[in-house]
Amino acid sequence: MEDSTDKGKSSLLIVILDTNSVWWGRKRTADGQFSLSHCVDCISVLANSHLMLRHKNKLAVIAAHTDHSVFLYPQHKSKQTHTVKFPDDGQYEMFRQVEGQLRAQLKKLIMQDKEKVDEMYDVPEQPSDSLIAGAMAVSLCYAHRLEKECPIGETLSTRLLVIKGSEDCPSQYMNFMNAVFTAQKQNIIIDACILDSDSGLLQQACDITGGMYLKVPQIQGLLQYLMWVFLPDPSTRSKMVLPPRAQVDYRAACFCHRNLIDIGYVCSVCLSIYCTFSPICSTCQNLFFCLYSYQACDITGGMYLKIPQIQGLLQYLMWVFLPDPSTRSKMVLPPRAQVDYRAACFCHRNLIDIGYVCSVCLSIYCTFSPICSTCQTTFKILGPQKLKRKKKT
Amino acid sequence: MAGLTYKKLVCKDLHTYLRSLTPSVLDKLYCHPATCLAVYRDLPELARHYVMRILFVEQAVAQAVVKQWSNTSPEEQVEAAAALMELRVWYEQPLPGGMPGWLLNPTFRKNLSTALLGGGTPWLGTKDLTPDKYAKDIPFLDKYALERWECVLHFMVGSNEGSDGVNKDITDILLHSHLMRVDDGEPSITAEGFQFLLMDTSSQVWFFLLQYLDTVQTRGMDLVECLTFLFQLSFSSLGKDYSAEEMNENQLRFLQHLREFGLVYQRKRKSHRYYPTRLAINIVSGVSKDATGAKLDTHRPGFIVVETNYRVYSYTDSPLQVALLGLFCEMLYRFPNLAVANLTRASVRAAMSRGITAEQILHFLVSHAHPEMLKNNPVLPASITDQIKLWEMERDRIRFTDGVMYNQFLSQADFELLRNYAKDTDVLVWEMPEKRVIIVTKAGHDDVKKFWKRQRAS
Repeated sequence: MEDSTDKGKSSLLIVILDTNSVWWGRKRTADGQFSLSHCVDCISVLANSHLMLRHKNKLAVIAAHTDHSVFLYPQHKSKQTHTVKFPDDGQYEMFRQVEGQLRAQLKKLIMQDKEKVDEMYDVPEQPSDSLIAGAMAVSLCYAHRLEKECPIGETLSTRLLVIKGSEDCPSQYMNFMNAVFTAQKQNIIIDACILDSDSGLLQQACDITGGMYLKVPQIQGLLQYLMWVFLPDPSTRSKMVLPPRAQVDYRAACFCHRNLIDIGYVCSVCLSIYCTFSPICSTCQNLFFCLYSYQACDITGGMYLKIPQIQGLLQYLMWVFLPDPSTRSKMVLPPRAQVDYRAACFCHRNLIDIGYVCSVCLSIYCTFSPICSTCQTTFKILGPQKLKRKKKT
Repeated sequence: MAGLTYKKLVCKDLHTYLRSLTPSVLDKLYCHPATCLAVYRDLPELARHYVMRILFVEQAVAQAVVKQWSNTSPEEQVEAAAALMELRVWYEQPLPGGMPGWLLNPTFRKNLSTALLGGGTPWLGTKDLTPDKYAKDIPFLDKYALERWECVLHFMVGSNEGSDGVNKDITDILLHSHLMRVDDGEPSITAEGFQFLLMDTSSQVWFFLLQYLDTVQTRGMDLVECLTFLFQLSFSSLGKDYSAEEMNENQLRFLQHLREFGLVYQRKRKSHRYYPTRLAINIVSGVSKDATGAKLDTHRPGFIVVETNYRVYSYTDSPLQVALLGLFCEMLYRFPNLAVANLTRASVRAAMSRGITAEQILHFLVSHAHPEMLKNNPVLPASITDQIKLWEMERDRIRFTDGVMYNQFLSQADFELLRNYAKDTDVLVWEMPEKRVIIVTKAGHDDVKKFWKRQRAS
């Protein structure tokens, strides 16, 4: 008995599994009960339950590994082993195939890892983060392809489920956010199931795309959490009582120390965030120049002196500014002062911490004014109002 | 009421069919994972999630708790719970504290989790076979299935296109289901038969199988066994061969019947392997809920183009399809791969007088629409849809109501007295004060007559 909305609708579930060997290894030694194979069991049951819901439902499982992401299911046709054996028990053929393929591929992946470690004699420092952003990009491409291949008259609704244990990776921030906004544009929902510590990035991703974010309180009950929260597809979710959406922490983490900050420095080119000023953006390698007189000395390596007693001006000039740069290094001169990098506003000449910046000439103002007094640009807060001509009847 | 309406052909979906079975049969059916899987997929969306949530809970769950799982309208919750009750997927069981609870049918639970997780005994026919010397690919199977099935349809319309004919079993089922009747010793098509022809292929197959299952017991076969096998077939994969070695006598007979309908391919009668065809795959969910649902015929690409000027182009060389189109169109031209026809008032009315409804015509046009047509939204031009529906309503202008006429009243007062009485008791059908005529319904006649006699006596 399918709803009228059910017709011609199929649902694609893409599971991204974090297979970070460092994290899983630590997890294994830490509580000794929950291992990767246990997690794969849970995922294959979830995957099969999803396929069981409707005949047309589709599935993909992608492993986000430390250095690459791999499709665990489905296999590329040319690589598929031709002799698919019948299950020797009462399991549905297709479910057995899914489960078998998941395991086989994962095994292959781990064996590859092992070989790599064996080859290199001294074990290289394995990164403790996974390529979640890469796996997300792969799955978005896959979803896009399936949507294109979808026969006319049918629609495909896609959602991503990220199952993640390892830490967030700041270097993937840009790629990650790009993937999230692409997903939002394509109406793909991102769900996140967090096994360990909260992930600020995924929280934002779920909030932006309207997905569910869940940090599993008890990892032993993972399967039940998956079944309850992530099995219903988005259209059904409105009918079910599900955990309420958590308050999302929209503070960004700085790229230098991974601290959550309220106010920080933003690179004007790539929008990377820093908690302290640095003259070079570490993400896009952009150089920043500060063009104010007292900062100028610092940047060019000159001397900056505020004269304590104006009566002795001549003495100060002779002592400090007479020696030329090559001689200066030989002389004892006043120590270089701590430079205040705060900018002064153009309107009242106050040094300000936060201000408004003209997007055209980069003039700084402490209060909002609709016209930039330097370059005369008019800022419009609202979009231009269009005058609609009434149609002649 | 109207004597003109024909019995509309109702194609039961799986849910209605299962509901018509007795509880003991249902319980027996749940002994196999395939049936559980089929039943599960047929449940309402909400019910499917209920089942998933308590699949691993081995005890009864309080009804109040289940109610809290969803925040949708109470009707939808009741519908989901009722569907589960009707199919005996769960039943009521009081909790130790006396609260009413739901308990998942243990057989169903066991076999559904078997299908999902494994365990238990293997399915029938899933024995590893040596590679087939005569292995068949999917296009071959599709062609074979369609040929077999068209053979049945050809037989129904009486064309001798399907030269190898159909055997007695199929004829029996067609007669049993009233799709055909025997006239002068020769079976001929009935009004229901025409409606059947206009259904999409998967609905046709499903309807046909339901009729077949009705007759299964009279053939001395076990209904449960057949249904189980059918469901299992529906979950098998296309282009793969299955073994028939472990099947018993009855199942082999059933397999032979399915082979005749084109649901499975077997090279020879005695061959120990069979291939399920596309007709059999996913047969249970292939039934559209209602005739209007724009469900596509997945068994053959669409070929019909309808234009706003009522012209119908049909890119097909199948005489059967052209004949079907001819049921409600006026054929104009015939080319080797194209037939051109016109939808006219006369042709549509002629179809309707055969018992075909507007809905069925529209459904036929949509389900066989050419891929280019499918890009439009709506698929059919609105003017065509509306006009065909209007032509149908045209035939509905006269409604017949049985009644008794009272006339020749001697005075206006008498007339008004009786008319008011009839009006008050809600049996008045029609009145005409000028000629002093009223008509009351047949049911109200006795009452009005008694009243009139009482009035006259007093």
